[in-house]
Amino acid sequence: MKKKSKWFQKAVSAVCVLSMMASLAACGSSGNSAEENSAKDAKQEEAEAVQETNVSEETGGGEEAAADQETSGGDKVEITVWHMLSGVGEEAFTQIVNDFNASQDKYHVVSEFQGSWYDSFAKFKATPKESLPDIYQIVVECMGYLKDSDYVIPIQDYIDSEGFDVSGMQENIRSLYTIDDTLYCMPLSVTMLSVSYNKEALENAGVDVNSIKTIADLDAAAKKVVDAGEAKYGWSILSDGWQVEEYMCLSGDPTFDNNNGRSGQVTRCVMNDNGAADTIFNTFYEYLSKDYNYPPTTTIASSDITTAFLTGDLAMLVGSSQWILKQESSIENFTLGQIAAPITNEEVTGSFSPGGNGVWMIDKGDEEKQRGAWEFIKYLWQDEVMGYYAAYTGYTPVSTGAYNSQVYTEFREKKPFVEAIWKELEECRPEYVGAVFGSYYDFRNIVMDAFGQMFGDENFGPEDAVERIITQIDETIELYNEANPG
Amino acid sequence: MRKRKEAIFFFLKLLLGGLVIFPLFYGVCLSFMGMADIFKMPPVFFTDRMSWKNYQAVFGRVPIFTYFKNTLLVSGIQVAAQIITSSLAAYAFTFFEFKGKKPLFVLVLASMMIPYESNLISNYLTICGLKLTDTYLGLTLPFLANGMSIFILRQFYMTIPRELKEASVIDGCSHMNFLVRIAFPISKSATASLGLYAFVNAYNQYFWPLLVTNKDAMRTIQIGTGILKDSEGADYGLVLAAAMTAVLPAIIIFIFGQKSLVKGMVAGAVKG
Repeated sequence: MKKKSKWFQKAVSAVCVLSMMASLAACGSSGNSAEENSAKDAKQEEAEAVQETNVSEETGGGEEAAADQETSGGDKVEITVWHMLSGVGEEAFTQIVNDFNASQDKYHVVSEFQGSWYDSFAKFKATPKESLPDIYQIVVECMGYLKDSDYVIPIQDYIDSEGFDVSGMQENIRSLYTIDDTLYCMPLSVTMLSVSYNKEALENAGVDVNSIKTIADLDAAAKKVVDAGEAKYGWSILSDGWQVEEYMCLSGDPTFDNNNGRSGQVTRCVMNDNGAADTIFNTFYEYLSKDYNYPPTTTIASSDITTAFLTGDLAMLVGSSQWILKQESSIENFTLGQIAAPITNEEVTGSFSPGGNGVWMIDKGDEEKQRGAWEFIKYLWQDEVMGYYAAYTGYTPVSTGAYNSQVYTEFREKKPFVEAIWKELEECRPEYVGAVFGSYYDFRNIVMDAFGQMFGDENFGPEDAVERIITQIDETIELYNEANPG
Repeated sequence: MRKRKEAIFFFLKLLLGGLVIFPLFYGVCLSFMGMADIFKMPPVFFTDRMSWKNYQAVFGRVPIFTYFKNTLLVSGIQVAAQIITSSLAAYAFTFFEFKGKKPLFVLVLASMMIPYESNLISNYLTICGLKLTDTYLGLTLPFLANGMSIFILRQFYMTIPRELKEASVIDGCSHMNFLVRIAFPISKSATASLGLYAFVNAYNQYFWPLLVTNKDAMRTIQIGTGILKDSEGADYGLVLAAAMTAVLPAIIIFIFGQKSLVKGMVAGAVKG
């Protein structure tokens, strides 16, 4: 009998432990508001500190935002934003969200980080409609899928119904996000393909940076710099695949059929139908194989090339303007300059395409939340807000108004070379903006692998690279179309 | 002669140890540096400009203690639950005779063969359907039982002498009593090793917590590190400072648990 009671005791204690665990689990959703607030406190303080020392002073309202954050909730309609911004992007975006929350008392925007763009996108695709956010911020690469899904409300609907003025939107950016005269999302930021260069190295070697128009010019300048002993390597290109797409846009030939996916679903890769891809790959192969340059290979990744540039070993780097600009603070021994990316050769007929990201409105069938989401997007669209975001993150502004805003004008005075990037954006032509299709992530990886292998493998030339890319991406497209008909 | 041999082995072990420790050591060094020093070529380990700046920034920028608390809680729940469920299951598979025992065990083994990623999305949909996003239950539910853990413990329980079981039955010991008082205590090392294994797995989870949580207050340390990383690059000093902070508890637990871990692994391997 004694034994039995002991056993009973044990059973009871086991049940206790289990129920404790269960209650712990259950309180997860409700019992955390205190921590949440204190967590937000910490974030808020940091955001304010950053704001005080940075270009954002003009936008103001930070302190009120902090005060308001605590009194949130209540009768306010909560608007959820999923974003993929980290680092400076997240800092600036959080500040804008806080300012918006402080500026009115009807809506409360909650911004939630969902990982890098492919993590965030994977989550978005897997999530049932009712659990989706009200606003989704993502890169232009995901446009193909989002447009095909029945999840989004084109921003055009709201612009039309209210007669909202977006005439200041830079024309090329508008066309990037427009299909069949419908603007799908509100652009948030832009980046351009550009050459970042080491100002002192080029000056000391006697290179006039404005004379660099073609890749041949760039290479001649690189040789001069290395010969003068100003840098270990002349030039290189970041190899994440985006750069190759940009050069396809420049060639004037589409990368995919159905007008780059803008007049129908992409069914195959046409990048080499007129030999455009061969020309691009051959040009890069010819120049980057020279011993004074630093080509990307399967072992030399984008991060290595970036490091070489930031430390001064590499004089010139072709890549996203924002990518280098935001890392400017880690440059110690030279001054950063940027110009538009060089053209392949004089025969090209197209233009580069802007890249970047935007905010999408998600259709969850809740009229009031959609209204709130639209109010936030309108807030975001103000010139000073957009200008602040661009100046803080190093992105190029999306509208003329933002470019001329006070905060961005001051930024331009500090970094005059951003004007060259703006000019490059203005000189793009709307008909050559990038493709719209559903398998961007695979395409990037396929291009990156082939591009890198071309420099490291003697038996794998530029033509082989192009051929392999087309074969592999065609297979991917077929699979995608089977899974997503229509 | 023997001394020389010992010296050589010692040196070899030192070398191997150094090799394993090196990345961690380098990570610690870099976490105190600014970007400019991190990118120095050839790499430097110490500079006179080392500071706590990165750590201050990490602690200021993200609610890292909340992340820590969540991670530890989630890992703790997973470890405790896995120990309970696997010891019960393993006991049944070892000491009970019942119809369909073999196919059932094969089913358990089969669950080890299915990559976790392949049912990630269906699990996520289930959690969404149950409205368990942003809860600790949602974070842990798919990991409360695990085929691998059942397998490890079952292999160990097989080594418990039948005589011990028979003797205890004669003494009037019930199954539950035998499990709690005899089988569980003597398989301490195996249990500890599976606990560590489960802990490390839970601690390193990234995509699952990212999927099932949205609120900052429910996020884990791995996602916190992700926020610091920039979308196209990173301030490596900052990321490393966060990573070093994140890795600390795992190292501490490993230091205290490594004896059991090794013992448990070896026991399973030899007798299995």
